[in-house]
Amino acid sequence: MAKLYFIEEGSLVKLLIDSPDQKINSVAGEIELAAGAKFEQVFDANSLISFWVDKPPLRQGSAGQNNKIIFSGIIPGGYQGTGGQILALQINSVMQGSTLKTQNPRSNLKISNPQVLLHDGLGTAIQVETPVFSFIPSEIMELNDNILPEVFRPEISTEASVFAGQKFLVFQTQDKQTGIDHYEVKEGLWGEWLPAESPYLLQQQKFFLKVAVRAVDLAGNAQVVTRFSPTGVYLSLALGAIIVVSLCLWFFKRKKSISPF
Amino acid sequence: MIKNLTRFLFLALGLVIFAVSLPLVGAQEFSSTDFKILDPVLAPSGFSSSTDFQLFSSLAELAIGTSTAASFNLGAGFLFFPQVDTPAVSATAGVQEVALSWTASTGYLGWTVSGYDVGQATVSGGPYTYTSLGNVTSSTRTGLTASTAYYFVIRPLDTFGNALATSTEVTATPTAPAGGGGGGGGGGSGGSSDTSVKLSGRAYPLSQVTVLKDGQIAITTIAGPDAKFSVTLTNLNAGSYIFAVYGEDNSDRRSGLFTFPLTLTSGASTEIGGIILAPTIAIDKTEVRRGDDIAIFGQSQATSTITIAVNSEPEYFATTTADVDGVYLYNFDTAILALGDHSTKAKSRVGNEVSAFSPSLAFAVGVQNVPTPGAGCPARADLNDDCRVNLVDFSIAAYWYRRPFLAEFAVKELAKLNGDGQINLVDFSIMAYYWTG
Repeated sequence: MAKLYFIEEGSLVKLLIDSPDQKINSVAGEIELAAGAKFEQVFDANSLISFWVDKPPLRQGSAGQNNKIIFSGIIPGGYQGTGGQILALQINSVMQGSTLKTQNPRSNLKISNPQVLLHDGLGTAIQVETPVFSFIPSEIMELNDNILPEVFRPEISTEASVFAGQKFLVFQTQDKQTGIDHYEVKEGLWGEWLPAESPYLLQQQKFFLKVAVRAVDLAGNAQVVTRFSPTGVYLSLALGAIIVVSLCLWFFKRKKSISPF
Repeated sequence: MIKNLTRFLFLALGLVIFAVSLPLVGAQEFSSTDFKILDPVLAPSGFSSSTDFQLFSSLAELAIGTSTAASFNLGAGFLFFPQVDTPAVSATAGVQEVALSWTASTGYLGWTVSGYDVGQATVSGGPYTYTSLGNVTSSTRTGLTASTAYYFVIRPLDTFGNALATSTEVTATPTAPAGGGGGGGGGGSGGSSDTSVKLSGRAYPLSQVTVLKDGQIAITTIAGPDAKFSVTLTNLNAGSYIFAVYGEDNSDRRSGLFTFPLTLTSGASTEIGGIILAPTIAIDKTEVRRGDDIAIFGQSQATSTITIAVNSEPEYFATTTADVDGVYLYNFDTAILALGDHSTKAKSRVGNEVSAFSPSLAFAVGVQNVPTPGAGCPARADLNDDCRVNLVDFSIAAYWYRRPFLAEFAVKELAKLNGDGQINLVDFSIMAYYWTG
């Protein structure tokens, strides 16, 4: 038996999970917010979930259409314990400012269609307790985040059953302050940054020098990592070698021409 | 002649008086179709809660090494199996405090962990002052002296308050309050102000050990001949992580993932000690003819005691000892198993340190022997056939999530995932189980 529940911490409402007796590795559900309040932002920073299958929309405005957030994801290796964080929510009352405090509008959060699967190699579902959470939305606090997302390493791969066997790029990183908002990919030296999701079908299938991936967190901090193709690396080395040899020859020739002997 | 007879009679009389004076009570015999335990020694004590009988003090000997006798070891036997796996413990220094967290210990055969003690000392190895914490897996020890190294152990307790195991010792040095003068000592590695984590424990002799950070490979290292390993990850951001460790044995078999969720504090060094990797495990047949042996083998720590469980009704246990390279082999006679599906798993013990069980391997008892195909690669979830389960496989499954399959992928889904013709959370759960990073 697992328990998915909410707690209030500062200006955030956190969705936590307890599974003290059994190791679990997958969690899913739908967070429903009663009328009178709205999701402002959703943070997946510091989540137990390392890989989202249904990534909740994090950004202001896009978070929680129809006051509902769908999420699902996995924890490689599993989790057994209590108080594991799944998401943090910023929830605002539809009434603003002083009205918020004077009218004391309570709101309810509940989880429907919860799914928690055991870490047993079979994906066995277990019972989930999901108590309704009643709270008063607090005023939104600005979260400081000036730290870049973590460094990561995109991989280029091929698989016959995906993109008809063409080369694709996979990438994933974490941001421990606010969470990753989106990724962008730039192919080649002069390509442009395009919004991307993993797996990403490479445009340059036959020959490319480099591909860069930019991970941007909710606060706008960006971590850029670059992968050079082996051809690109050899080409760069060859180009470097040609430049060095040319410079040496030029220097040697110049020295010889100004020599009095 | 008469003198000898008198001596004999006195001796016999002494034996009778001694036997009569023994406080034995009627013992309950245990039997099944496979074994009998006749006349188990039972005596009054305060240990058992049964109204019919009480257990003798032999339960105090839970593992080799707990006895003070130098002349014998307590071998595996009926009373030997109830044990718990030893918790791994993390320690993070704070301002005049140390935050501890540990893995939950799991008991076997009805043995349950009901709480934990924390032992605290200022000298490595103790003596420790123990405090009972209740059934929790974290605690912050406050009111500590800045710049003094503190040493901690965690003891899981049974419902009667008996300590069932003792973790490896971890250490941390609390810092002084800001502006309070004295330099913040920073226990251990190099005095760097980086946020870092050190992981240490036991794998297998000279095996490769891989550390995952949030599911992706962060670092690999090689364990020493004594199977011990220690790695440090530096330049981390403050926040919550899931660290996972696995080992690869001398035949490239991988252990299950040992996971440890942890929240790192900015600028603090955290130590996770006492990670004991479960043995690797393999079987020589996926189907075995009833009555033939199935070989259960793998690698663990050198000369460790391996407990092998065969999941059946009832569950069977056997023990064997790993050799000096940590390699073990046990031929399990399947005559006692019913026809049908079974599984096996193994755990190891070195001294007082007990690992968790390995992942289970399934086999069938039937009418023929079917050898296990080539080992080394994950049995399932490896969608691109590179012998790993990682972000690439996750991305391939994510590509097909909520899409109709092409025939090519349908074959893969059937063979490597749950074969229900769609990608859903169950398939991703299978992937998380076989994850290698």
